Amino acid sequence: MRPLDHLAYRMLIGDRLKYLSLVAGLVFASLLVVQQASIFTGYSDRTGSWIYDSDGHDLWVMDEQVEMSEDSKPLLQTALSRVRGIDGVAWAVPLYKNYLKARLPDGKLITVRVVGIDDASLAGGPLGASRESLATLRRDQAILVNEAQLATILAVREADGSTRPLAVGDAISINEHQATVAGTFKATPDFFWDPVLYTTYSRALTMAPPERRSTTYVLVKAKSGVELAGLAARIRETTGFAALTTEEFAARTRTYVLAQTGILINFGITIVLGFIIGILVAAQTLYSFILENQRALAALKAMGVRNARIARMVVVQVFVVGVLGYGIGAGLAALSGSILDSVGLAFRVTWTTLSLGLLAILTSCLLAGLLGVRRVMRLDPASVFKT
Amino acid sequence: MTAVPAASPPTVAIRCAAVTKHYGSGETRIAALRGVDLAVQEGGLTMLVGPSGCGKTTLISILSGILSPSSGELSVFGTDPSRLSDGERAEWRASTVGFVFQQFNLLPALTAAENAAVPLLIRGVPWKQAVEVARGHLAELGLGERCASLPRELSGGQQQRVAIARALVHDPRLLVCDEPTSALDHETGERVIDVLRTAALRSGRVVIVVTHDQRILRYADALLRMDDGCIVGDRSNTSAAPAEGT
Repeated sequence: MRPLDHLAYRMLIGDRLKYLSLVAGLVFASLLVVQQASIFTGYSDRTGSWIYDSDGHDLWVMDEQVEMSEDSKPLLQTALSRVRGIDGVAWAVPLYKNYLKARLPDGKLITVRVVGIDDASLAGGPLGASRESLATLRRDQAILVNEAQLATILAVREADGSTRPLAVGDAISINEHQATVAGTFKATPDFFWDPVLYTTYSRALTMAPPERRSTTYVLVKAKSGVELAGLAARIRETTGFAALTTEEFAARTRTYVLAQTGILINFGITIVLGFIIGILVAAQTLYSFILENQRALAALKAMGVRNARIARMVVVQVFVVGVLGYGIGAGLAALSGSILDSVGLAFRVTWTTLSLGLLAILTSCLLAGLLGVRRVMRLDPASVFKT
Repeated sequence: MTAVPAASPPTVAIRCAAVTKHYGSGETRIAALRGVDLAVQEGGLTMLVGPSGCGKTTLISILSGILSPSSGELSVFGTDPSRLSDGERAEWRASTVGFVFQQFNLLPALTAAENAAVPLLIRGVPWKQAVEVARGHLAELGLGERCASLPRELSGGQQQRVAIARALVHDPRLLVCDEPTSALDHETGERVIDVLRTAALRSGRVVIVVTHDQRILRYADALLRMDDGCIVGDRSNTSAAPAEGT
């Protein structure tokens, strides 16, 4: 470390109270920024949970106007055979998805998302279902439910007022059609709150109101060695349907939700406000610190330290408190994330969040620091002789 | 660097001819120095006295290369600092000038030894080496036991001695002291001026002390009186008795 950099560091840590105030301000700012951004990322990721949880296929074929996973614009049943006839398709199966009313054993009426998967292959079933559990769908009236929701949104209120989890063997009514809980599956926490119930495609159609168009998606598996982008393009050209990979469909859903629901604006405002408050605290403390050191810096200037070196000293100080404050703040945010995660709230820290957060904190500190230095640079050097 | 032709005897270290300094412009223009002529010899303690606002601070700021004169000729050890670029002037100050401030201006976070080492750090001397040299200077000033103390743990006199050690640690040829005894009691003030005079007597060094403190004037080898931006009295005090202990 250069002697003047060392001097800057010693000046910084010498006054413990001011040093800790500076670090604390930056910890606060960093915590807010990383935490809010990670909650936002977590919720943003969850918009694609159902899509990612769907197993076994390469492409989702759907009406071109479908904007997200919860947007049902069904296709004619002939769509399936049209897709199956396209070169490069190994297999294609239909999938039904719609919002229906379900009555629980205690009579409570709720809205559920009914997903009907191919009767024969059961392709498109949830990744988190065991083979045995999935096979139970072949039983009469069988449905699979999300095990995490058994004791929450699907809980059954008993006659004595107590509640119990919905259990395998319980009968529920979906759109006035009898269904029996035959098994459960594990699902990735979802942004959309209505429970997902899996059943077979044909059974789902019997539950749903009669419609001419009944295939929500056609799930496609590409032949080995076939390029997905090329296959998707061929499907689009041949049928006029959209053909998206899981990643593309999740991204389309995420974009729609962020753009249309206001969640982006709300979180954006929270993040920006948190950032501004935190940065103002840190910048104010940093600015005060430099002004309080103004006389010492002016004395150094009189003794022959150039303006550029004064600026460099401030940069060293900013870097030390910035990195330390950010490190602690981001660490606390990650800690709070593990707590939030354990109670089911969305939270995901990404390297992008961490990198952008660090960049933002350091830049703001640097600006605050250089604002202070500007005053020192403009200081009448002869002021060191004044009392 | 631009040197002023040396027309003066070799013992003259600082020469000013018709130096003026103005602040502001137009109706707000203030003349701080109105044509100062000055010659200061090497190896002596020069005291600069005068009422507040008479231009003492401006004069020492110009002599030490902190301010540039508005007009006039200036030579400090053969160099006119006002003709140097900002960077060169900073380098020149770092190598040529030592400062002792009225309020000491010690860095509160640093120990006495580290404070005294600052001019060496400015010149790029490694931390440990600089602090070691500074310890030696503090020991010479009777503060060998207080090297690790922070400024707030030292008395006013001790702090001023640390400031003097800082001003001398890089062996500057010009020592500029602004009211070095004003914040000190009589006894401590005398001790401090004693140290400064010892430093001044070293060949080739010039010590300029701005002071209001009448008690220390008897230690001056030369006394300059200023008023209203001019030198109004110039007395060589060759008969001044050396300070006690020197």
